Amino acid sequence: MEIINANSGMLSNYEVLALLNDQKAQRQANEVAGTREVAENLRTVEFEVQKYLGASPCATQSPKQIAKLKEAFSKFNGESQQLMKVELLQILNLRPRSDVELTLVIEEFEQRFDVSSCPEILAIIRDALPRNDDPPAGEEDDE
Amino acid sequence: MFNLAEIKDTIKIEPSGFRKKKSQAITDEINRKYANKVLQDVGLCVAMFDILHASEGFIHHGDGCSYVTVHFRMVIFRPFVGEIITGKIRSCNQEGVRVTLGFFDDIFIPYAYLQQSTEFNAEEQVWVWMYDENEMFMDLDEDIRFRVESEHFFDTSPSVRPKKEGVDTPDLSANSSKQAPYSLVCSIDGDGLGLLSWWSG
Repeated sequence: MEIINANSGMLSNYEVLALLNDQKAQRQANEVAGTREVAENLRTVEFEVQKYLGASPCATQSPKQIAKLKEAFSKFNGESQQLMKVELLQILNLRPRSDVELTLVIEEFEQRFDVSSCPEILAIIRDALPRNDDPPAGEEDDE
Repeated sequence: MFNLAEIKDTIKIEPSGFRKKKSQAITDEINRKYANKVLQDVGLCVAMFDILHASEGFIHHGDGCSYVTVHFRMVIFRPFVGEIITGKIRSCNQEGVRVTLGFFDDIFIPYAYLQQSTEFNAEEQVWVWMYDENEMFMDLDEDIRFRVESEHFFDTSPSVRPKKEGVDTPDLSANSSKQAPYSLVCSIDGDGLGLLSWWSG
């Protein structure tokens, strides 16, 4: 075994979940034909990762939403306001809902963005990655 | 949290696998070999992502298996240092808090990395964050958000493991230490970190 590149790119949680779901669906289709048996270790990790990711915000995401989020953030075009890849990834994976979560995933938030832009950014996230378990609008703005 | 690793390996396909399509046989074999295993300095393998290149199959003398050199990509669980992740509290003890993600358990928050002025409640065996006279208990199974501070790989292969004193048995599991091959040291010392319920307002 030779490791050519230990890190040739990052994946968002959504991509991993989509891959696992696809893989499982494809396998089940094949299983009917009775041609494949599945390794126990794959089943275990697949089940556990699916369970973890299924309960995380990525479960309701789609490629369209992710593209939309990326586009929405491109309006912050100040030099320091460009989001780094990892920041965008964290926003996707964690989907911050409050100011304090947002400042956690964006480095040096206060220097790069105005604190007053928090609600605006949160609105972008809420808008681009809709979920139906959000508290009703308005409640969060009071915080 | 997840990334891709490019790996090249020789994969053995047993004759029973010959009825499958080649790509399927390779995928199954790679997953059997790698899924849910830790690769040193790479991370925890989840599943094969794609096959970049596969050679012709070779059959060795005296062996009916087909050996294929495959260049493939694997989905790896390896959070970067500084990443924020959510998990569940698995256990608490004097030394700190253990957190699980379900598929990965070796996450440890040492007591020094807990929120300032957190105390251990020996009666309930949990850590309690004393925040403005409020006692915030860190109960088991609560959702917790934490930051990755450092990662540790430990080579658990038998050949390099130092023998324990006085133990000399051919049984490798007897002189195995219980150290995890890949573990994360994390912190919840900061705003927004800790139990989700602390910050949800």
